[in-house]
Amino acid sequence: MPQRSLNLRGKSCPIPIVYLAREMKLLGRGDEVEIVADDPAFPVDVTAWCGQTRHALVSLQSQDGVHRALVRKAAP
Amino acid sequence: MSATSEQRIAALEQKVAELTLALTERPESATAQANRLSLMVFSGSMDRVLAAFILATTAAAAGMEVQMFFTFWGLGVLRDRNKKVAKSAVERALSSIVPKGADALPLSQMNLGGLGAGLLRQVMIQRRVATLQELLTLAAEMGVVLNACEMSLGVMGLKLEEFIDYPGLTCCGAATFLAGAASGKLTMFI
Repeated sequence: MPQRSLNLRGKSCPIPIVYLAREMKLLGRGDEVEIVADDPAFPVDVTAWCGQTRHALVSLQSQDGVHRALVRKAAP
Repeated sequence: MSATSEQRIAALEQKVAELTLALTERPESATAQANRLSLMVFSGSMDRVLAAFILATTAAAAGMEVQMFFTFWGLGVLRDRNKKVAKSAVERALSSIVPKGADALPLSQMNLGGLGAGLLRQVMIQRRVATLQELLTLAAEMGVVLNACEMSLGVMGLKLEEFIDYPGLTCCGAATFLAGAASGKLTMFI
Protein backbone atom coordinates (compact mmCIF):
# COMPACT_ATOMS: atom_id res chain seq x y z
CA MET A 1 0.00 0.00 0.00
CA PRO A 2 1.35 3.44 -0.90
CA GLN A 3 1.95 5.78 2.05
CA ARG A 4 0.31 8.66 0.23
CA SER A 5 -2.16 9.17 -2.56
CA LEU A 6 -2.52 12.27 -4.70
CA ASN A 7 -5.55 13.03 -6.81
CA LEU A 8 -4.39 15.48 -9.47
CA ARG A 9 -7.24 15.08 -11.93
CA GLY A 10 -8.02 18.34 -13.66
CA LYS A 11 -4.52 19.75 -13.17
CA SER A 12 -2.29 20.42 -16.15
CA CYS A 13 1.43 20.65 -16.71
CA PRO A 14 3.49 21.38 -14.64
CA ILE A 15 1.27 21.07 -11.55
CA PRO A 16 1.08 17.24 -11.31
CA ILE A 17 4.88 16.94 -11.33
CA VAL A 18 5.37 19.91 -9.01
CA TYR A 19 2.88 18.52 -6.48
CA LEU A 20 4.40 15.06 -6.76
CA ALA A 21 7.86 16.50 -6.03
CA ARG A 22 6.49 18.39 -3.05
CA GLU A 23 4.90 15.23 -1.70
CA MET A 24 8.12 13.23 -2.13
CA LYS A 25 9.97 15.64 0.14
CA LEU A 26 7.66 14.69 3.00
CA LEU A 27 8.25 10.97 2.55
CA GLY A 28 11.05 8.71 3.74
CA ARG A 29 13.27 6.49 1.65
CA GLY A 30 11.35 3.56 0.22
CA ASP A 31 7.96 5.18 0.83
CA GLU A 32 5.53 5.12 -2.04
CA VAL A 33 3.05 7.60 -3.41
CA GLU A 34 0.21 6.92 -5.81
CA ILE A 35 -0.75 9.66 -8.26
CA VAL A 36 -3.93 9.84 -10.27
CA ALA A 37 -3.85 12.42 -13.06
CA ASP A 38 -5.59 13.12 -16.35
CA ASP A 39 -3.05 15.50 -17.85
CA PRO A 40 -2.27 13.83 -21.23
CA ALA A 41 1.44 14.64 -20.77
CA PHE A 42 1.59 13.03 -17.34
CA PRO A 43 2.76 9.50 -18.37
CA VAL A 44 5.78 10.77 -20.32
CA ASP A 45 6.51 13.52 -17.80
CA VAL A 46 6.44 11.29 -14.75
CA THR A 47 8.72 8.81 -16.54
CA ALA A 48 11.21 11.57 -17.38
CA TRP A 49 10.97 13.05 -13.89
CA CYS A 50 11.66 9.70 -12.25
CA GLY A 51 14.66 9.24 -14.55
CA GLN A 52 16.03 12.60 -13.54
CA THR A 53 15.38 12.33 -9.81
CA ARG A 54 16.22 8.59 -9.54
CA HIS A 55 12.92 7.82 -7.81
CA ALA A 56 11.51 4.50 -8.93
CA LEU A 57 8.46 4.40 -11.17
CA VAL A 58 6.97 1.19 -9.82
CA SER A 59 3.95 1.14 -12.09
CA LEU A 60 2.14 3.29 -14.61
CA GLN A 61 -1.31 2.48 -15.96
CA SER A 62 -3.64 4.41 -18.19
CA GLN A 63 -7.31 3.81 -18.71
CA ASP A 64 -9.90 6.08 -20.32
CA GLY A 65 -7.57 9.05 -20.14
CA VAL A 66 -6.86 8.60 -16.44
CA HIS A 67 -3.30 7.77 -15.48
CA ARG A 68 -2.18 6.04 -12.30
CA ALA A 69 1.45 6.04 -11.31
CA LEU A 70 3.13 4.51 -8.29
CA VAL A 71 6.44 6.12 -7.38
CA ARG A 72 8.87 4.90 -4.74
CA LYS A 73 11.21 7.36 -3.11
CA ALA A 74 14.94 6.85 -3.57
CA ALA A 75 17.53 8.15 -1.10
CA PRO A 76 16.66 11.72 -0.09
CA MET B 1 45.43 -3.12 18.52
CA SER B 2 49.14 -2.61 17.94
CA ALA B 3 50.72 0.82 18.14
CA THR B 4 51.61 0.82 14.44
CA SER B 5 48.05 0.20 13.25
CA GLU B 6 46.82 2.95 15.57
CA GLN B 7 49.38 5.28 14.06
CA ARG B 8 48.32 4.28 10.59
CA ILE B 9 44.66 4.92 11.42
CA ALA B 10 45.56 8.32 12.87
CA ALA B 11 47.55 9.16 9.74
CA LEU B 12 44.67 8.10 7.53
CA GLU B 13 42.18 10.12 9.58
CA GLN B 14 44.43 13.14 9.21
CA LYS B 15 44.55 12.59 5.46
CA VAL B 16 40.76 12.29 5.20
CA ALA B 17 40.32 15.53 7.16
CA GLU B 18 42.76 17.29 4.84
CA LEU B 19 41.01 16.02 1.72
CA THR B 20 37.58 16.95 3.07
CA LEU B 21 38.81 20.46 3.74
CA ALA B 22 40.39 20.71 0.28
CA LEU B 23 37.09 19.61 -1.29
CA THR B 24 34.93 22.07 0.62
CA GLU B 25 37.33 24.93 -0.06
CA ARG B 26 37.39 24.29 -3.78
CA PRO B 27 35.59 27.10 -5.63
CA GLU B 28 32.33 26.07 -7.30
CA SER B 29 33.65 26.92 -10.76
CA ALA B 30 36.47 24.43 -10.37
CA THR B 31 34.19 21.57 -9.44
CA ALA B 32 31.57 19.86 -11.59
CA GLN B 33 28.78 22.14 -12.80
CA ALA B 34 26.07 22.85 -10.27
CA ASN B 35 22.65 21.37 -10.95
CA ARG B 36 21.25 24.83 -11.52
CA LEU B 37 18.90 26.50 -14.01
CA SER B 38 19.46 30.20 -14.59
CA LEU B 39 16.70 32.12 -16.30
CA MET B 40 17.08 35.65 -17.59
CA VAL B 41 13.54 37.03 -17.80
CA PHE B 42 13.73 40.02 -20.14
CA SER B 43 10.22 39.76 -21.52
CA GLY B 44 7.17 41.14 -19.76
CA SER B 45 4.73 39.21 -21.95
CA MET B 46 2.38 36.88 -20.13
CA ASP B 47 2.95 33.89 -22.42
CA ARG B 48 6.73 34.13 -22.24
CA VAL B 49 6.79 34.71 -18.49
CA LEU B 50 4.41 31.79 -18.01
CA ALA B 51 6.84 29.56 -19.93
CA ALA B 52 9.66 30.81 -17.70
CA PHE B 53 7.76 29.97 -14.50
CA ILE B 54 6.62 26.57 -15.77
CA LEU B 55 10.27 25.71 -16.44
CA ALA B 56 11.40 27.18 -13.11
CA THR B 57 8.90 25.25 -10.99
CA THR B 58 9.42 22.02 -12.96
CA ALA B 59 13.20 22.31 -12.60
CA ALA B 60 12.80 22.91 -8.87
CA ALA B 61 10.54 19.85 -8.74
CA ALA B 62 13.33 17.82 -10.34
CA GLY B 63 15.69 18.91 -7.58
CA MET B 64 17.44 21.68 -9.51
CA GLU B 65 18.45 24.95 -7.96
CA VAL B 66 16.74 27.79 -9.86
CA GLN B 67 17.64 31.45 -10.16
CA MET B 68 15.57 33.94 -12.15
CA PHE B 69 16.95 37.32 -13.06
CA PHE B 70 14.34 39.92 -14.07
CA THR B 71 15.39 42.77 -16.25
CA PHE B 72 13.70 45.50 -18.35
CA TRP B 73 10.11 44.43 -19.22
CA GLY B 74 10.43 41.37 -17.02
CA LEU B 75 10.41 43.63 -13.97
CA GLY B 76 6.68 44.22 -14.51
CA VAL B 77 6.04 40.66 -13.25
CA LEU B 78 7.35 41.63 -9.83
CA ARG B 79 5.27 44.78 -9.37
CA ASP B 80 2.58 44.92 -6.71
CA ARG B 81 -0.19 47.25 -7.85
CA ASN B 82 -1.25 47.89 -4.26
CA LYS B 83 2.09 49.30 -3.21
CA LYS B 84 2.51 53.01 -3.69
CA VAL B 85 5.93 54.61 -3.53
CA ALA B 86 7.01 58.22 -3.84
CA LYS B 87 8.49 58.94 -7.29
CA SER B 88 9.70 61.88 -9.32
CA ALA B 89 7.67 62.94 -12.38
CA VAL B 90 10.19 61.26 -14.69
CA GLU B 91 10.13 58.00 -12.72
CA ARG B 92 6.34 58.04 -12.77
CA ALA B 93 6.28 58.57 -16.53
CA LEU B 94 8.82 55.80 -17.16
CA SER B 95 7.20 53.25 -14.87
CA SER B 96 3.76 53.92 -16.32
CA ILE B 97 4.74 51.93 -19.42
CA VAL B 98 5.72 48.85 -17.37
CA PRO B 99 2.82 46.44 -16.62
CA LYS B 100 1.65 46.54 -13.01
CA GLY B 101 2.07 42.98 -11.87
CA ALA B 102 1.75 39.35 -12.93
CA ASP B 103 -1.96 39.62 -13.68
CA ALA B 104 -1.57 42.72 -15.85
CA LEU B 105 0.85 41.39 -18.44
CA PRO B 106 0.01 41.61 -22.16
CA LEU B 107 0.50 38.79 -24.66
CA SER B 108 3.60 38.78 -26.87
CA GLN B 109 1.35 38.41 -29.93
CA MET B 110 -2.34 39.05 -30.63
CA ASN B 111 -2.77 41.03 -27.43
CA LEU B 112 -5.41 43.22 -29.14
CA GLY B 113 -5.33 45.86 -26.46
CA GLY B 114 -5.62 43.34 -23.64
CA LEU B 115 -8.45 41.35 -25.24
CA GLY B 116 -6.14 38.50 -26.23
CA ALA B 117 -4.54 38.32 -22.79
CA GLY B 118 -7.93 38.33 -21.10
CA LEU B 119 -9.20 35.55 -23.35
CA LEU B 120 -6.12 33.40 -22.69
CA ARG B 121 -6.47 33.95 -18.95
CA GLN B 122 -10.10 32.86 -19.12
CA VAL B 123 -9.28 29.71 -21.11
CA MET B 124 -6.48 28.89 -18.68
CA ILE B 125 -8.84 29.12 -15.73
CA GLN B 126 -11.42 26.97 -17.55
CA ARG B 127 -8.82 24.34 -18.38
CA ARG B 128 -7.43 24.63 -14.86
CA VAL B 129 -3.95 25.52 -16.03
CA ALA B 130 -1.95 27.16 -13.25
CA THR B 131 -1.94 30.95 -13.48
CA LEU B 132 1.16 33.07 -13.12
CA GLN B 133 0.10 33.96 -9.58
CA GLU B 134 -0.16 30.31 -8.59
CA LEU B 135 3.21 29.53 -10.16
CA LEU B 136 4.78 32.46 -8.29
CA THR B 137 3.47 31.07 -5.00
CA LEU B 138 4.79 27.61 -5.86
CA ALA B 139 8.15 29.04 -6.89
CA ALA B 140 8.44 30.78 -3.52
CA GLU B 141 7.52 27.58 -1.73
CA MET B 142 10.14 25.61 -3.68
CA GLY B 143 12.94 28.05 -3.03
CA VAL B 144 13.27 29.52 -6.53
CA VAL B 145 15.52 32.58 -6.18
CA LEU B 146 14.29 35.80 -7.78
CA ASN B 147 16.55 38.77 -8.43
CA ALA B 148 15.76 42.13 -9.97
CA CYS B 149 18.26 43.91 -12.16
CA GLU B 150 19.41 47.00 -10.30
CA MET B 151 20.33 48.94 -13.42
CA SER B 152 17.10 48.39 -15.38
CA LEU B 153 15.10 49.10 -12.23
CA GLY B 154 16.49 52.63 -12.33
CA VAL B 155 16.06 52.97 -16.09
CA MET B 156 12.40 51.92 -15.93
CA GLY B 157 11.67 54.26 -13.01
CA LEU B 158 10.88 51.38 -10.64
CA LYS B 159 11.74 50.84 -6.98
CA LEU B 160 12.25 47.63 -5.03
CA GLU B 161 9.67 48.85 -2.49
CA GLU B 162 6.86 48.50 -5.06
CA PHE B 163 7.59 44.81 -5.66
CA ILE B 164 5.68 41.81 -4.36
CA ASP B 165 6.54 40.18 -1.03
CA TYR B 166 8.60 37.30 -2.32
CA PRO B 167 11.01 35.62 0.09
CA GLY B 168 14.57 36.79 -0.49
CA LEU B 169 13.78 39.02 -3.48
CA THR B 170 16.75 41.35 -3.91
CA CYS B 171 18.45 43.53 -6.49
CA CYS B 172 21.69 42.54 -8.11
CA GLY B 173 23.72 43.17 -11.23
CA ALA B 174 24.70 41.23 -14.35
CA ALA B 175 27.83 39.88 -12.64
CA THR B 176 25.81 38.08 -9.97
CA PHE B 177 23.55 36.48 -12.57
CA LEU B 178 26.53 35.43 -14.69
CA ALA B 179 28.38 33.97 -11.72
CA GLY B 180 25.40 31.73 -11.06
CA ALA B 181 24.83 30.97 -14.74
CA ALA B 182 28.47 30.19 -15.50
CA SER B 183 28.73 27.65 -12.69
CA GLY B 184 25.37 26.05 -13.48
CA LYS B 185 24.27 23.53 -16.07
CA LEU B 186 21.58 25.42 -17.88
CA THR B 187 20.89 29.03 -18.82
CA MET B 188 18.02 30.51 -20.80
CA PHE B 189 17.10 33.98 -21.97
CA ILE B 190 13.39 34.60 -22.16
